[in-house]
Amino acid sequence: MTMLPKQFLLGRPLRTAQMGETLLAKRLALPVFCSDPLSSVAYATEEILMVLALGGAALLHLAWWVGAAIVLLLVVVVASYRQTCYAYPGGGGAYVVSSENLGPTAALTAASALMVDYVLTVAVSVVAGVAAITSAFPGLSKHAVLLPLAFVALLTVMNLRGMKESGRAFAIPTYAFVLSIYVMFAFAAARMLMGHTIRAESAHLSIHATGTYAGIGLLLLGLRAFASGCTALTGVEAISNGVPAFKKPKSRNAAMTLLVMGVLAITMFVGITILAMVFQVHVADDPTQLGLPAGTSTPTALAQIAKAAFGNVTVLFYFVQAATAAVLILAANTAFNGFPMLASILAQDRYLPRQLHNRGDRLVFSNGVVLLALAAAGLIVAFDADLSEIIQLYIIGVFVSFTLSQAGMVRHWGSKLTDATDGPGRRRIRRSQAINALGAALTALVLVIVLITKFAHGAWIVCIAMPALFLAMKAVRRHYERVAEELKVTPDARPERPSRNHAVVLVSTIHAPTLRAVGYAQSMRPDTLEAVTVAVDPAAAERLNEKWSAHEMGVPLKVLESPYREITRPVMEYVRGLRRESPRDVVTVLIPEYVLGRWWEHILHNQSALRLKARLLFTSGVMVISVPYLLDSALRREERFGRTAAGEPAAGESLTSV
Amino acid sequence: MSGATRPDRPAGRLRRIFGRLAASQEDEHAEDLRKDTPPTECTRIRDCQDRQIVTVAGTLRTVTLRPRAGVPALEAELFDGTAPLDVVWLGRRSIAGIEPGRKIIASGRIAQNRGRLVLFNPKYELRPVGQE
Repeated sequence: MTMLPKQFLLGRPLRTAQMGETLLAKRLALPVFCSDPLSSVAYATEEILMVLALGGAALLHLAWWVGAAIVLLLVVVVASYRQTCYAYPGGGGAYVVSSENLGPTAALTAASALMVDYVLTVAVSVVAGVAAITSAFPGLSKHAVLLPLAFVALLTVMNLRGMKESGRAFAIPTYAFVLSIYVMFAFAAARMLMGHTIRAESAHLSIHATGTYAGIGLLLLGLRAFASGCTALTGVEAISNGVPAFKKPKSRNAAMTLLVMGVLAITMFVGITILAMVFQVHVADDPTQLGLPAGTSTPTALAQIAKAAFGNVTVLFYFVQAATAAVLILAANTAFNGFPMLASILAQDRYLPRQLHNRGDRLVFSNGVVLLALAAAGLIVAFDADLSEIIQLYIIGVFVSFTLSQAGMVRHWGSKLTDATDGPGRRRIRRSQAINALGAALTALVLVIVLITKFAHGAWIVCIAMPALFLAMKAVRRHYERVAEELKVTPDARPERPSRNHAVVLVSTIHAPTLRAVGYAQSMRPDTLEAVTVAVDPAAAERLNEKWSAHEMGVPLKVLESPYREITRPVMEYVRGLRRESPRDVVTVLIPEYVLGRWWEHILHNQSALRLKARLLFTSGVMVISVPYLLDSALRREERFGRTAAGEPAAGESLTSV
Repeated sequence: MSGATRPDRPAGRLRRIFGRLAASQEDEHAEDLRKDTPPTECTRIRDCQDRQIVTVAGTLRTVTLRPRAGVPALEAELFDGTAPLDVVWLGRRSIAGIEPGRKIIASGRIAQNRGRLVLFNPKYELRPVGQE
């Protein structure tokens, strides 16, 4: 019964040997890994205009320069990451590259930055996608928090099903989005060539500047607009991270996909920015700045552009909005691929709990997927799904990891250079190193800009979260190391027999489980064997004693005094006493228990044996053996679920009181 | 309660309080037993020597029916708050009144069995249960 919904949602479990089937062809890898950078063009332009609008309409022309800077940055970053794809065919995420070239501290910094940003990617993309929906259907804007959460849940389920199938599902919206944007460009170009003057619906709105910006202030505002626009760069590292998921030749295919992604992202970003400038789109974070009443929900910049470009062909406008919403929501999928993979690598290096390295039924890192979904949902709720608030936290992590990874690549080529001897090989390496050095320098510069311009606007939260994550991972690693140190054995260590084994069967009354436990204990042939009961009620103990002789148990029955009517303490004291007498002996405690099949039956039975078991676990030199006795209800349960739930442990077991 | 907490060792103080709370029940029980012991001519079990004839008093902590070489034997552990002592009645399956929690006075010659003090077939006197 518990398995059916899971199977329905996630599909049949896959065998480990079916692993290879989750490899991606290029045309599927593009939407899976690139929906994030491609979709961020949907809001990058808007974020730039919004920041510039703070300085009034006169400053909007700065968008040209900001856009040009972002395009330059994109070219450099894509070129740099193509180098990484070739150098690390086993997956060259920032963590791997920096741990190999810069050491564990840099690697952990990159990892914590990436993890924070993956969570933000999900939150930002989903919220932006919902904004696209509410732009088309303003009636839905009152569900602005609920809708993103629903989409996060949907994405979680899809990703738990596995990568290839999700890749197929994501291919259509991503390609539809790209297509719709190009159709929009063509439409707008054609209409403008025919002599139409196209203006956005907000073109007539005047922008009230919140202050006058000149000199340093102007520069800072420009830089802040640039920092906001840098959202277009997120997710570029996803491809280099996921090189192993590509079909062979992995590195070539990954680098090719990265190039295609770069071309698409740049052309779409440039096109949208040009149209926004030509159509005179006016947007502002605060509607009062545009002379609108406070609380008015304004359509996104892209929605205004699409509406203006298509004029009265509203079908195409809705098509653009639908594709935008779909691709944005699916962009979160990039994080759903990257985060679990990164978490599993970290878990393998013992920086995160090991469960994150386990592959689930469908061969995906299920725990990582669920963790990411929970974190993103928490963020959406905490920020009330306000895009311009969340976006302030974004980007920092991306650029921290960009910088570290590119710096690591420079080191990587440096060490390669000492191995290479022939002229052409050295020249090739020199060229790669130069590209990565340029990338490192530029991304470091952008990181500083982003930090300065966004810190006061909310980025400080990230500046706390990242070090906190860093320290937590260090602590996890220390814990695992300490445990490993304690568990370590020397090469000459051999199994050592305890000098004697004292077996103790806990008895409360004489019934089938007791007989089975006593019989089993006898078959173990311990050095001493006795049954122990606690005399909470002297009359009952007396009766038990009589029956004990009548059943010819063949084992001495010891009755323990319980001056305070407890069960756990007398048993614990007795077992500890046995241990004190001869510390090199072991004590085996056998607990007869009957197993119930239904959850409500558990309420009717005493759980004192369970408590006792937990206490005995913390006593050294004591082995606890459960001797189960399956009741009818448990047997029927086994029959019912035996086939589907093979290997699944019984949901719970109840114990006889001792 | 002066509330004079020493700021340099707050953990130690806290731990002592909790330690006392946790240990109290067992210690208290042993303490009660020590006080209960009749002062006249009773030896404390801790002071018993091998082959010595003693009279001891205490509570039966455990009672076991343990056949020895085919012969039934009733075995009990007597505790007076200082040390445990095994009391064995050979040839008996049960004795009315010999049950866990019962206070008895027993006398006989101390023997040693596998490093534990044992009193075989002692002369014993049951002491009343509850209020005296």
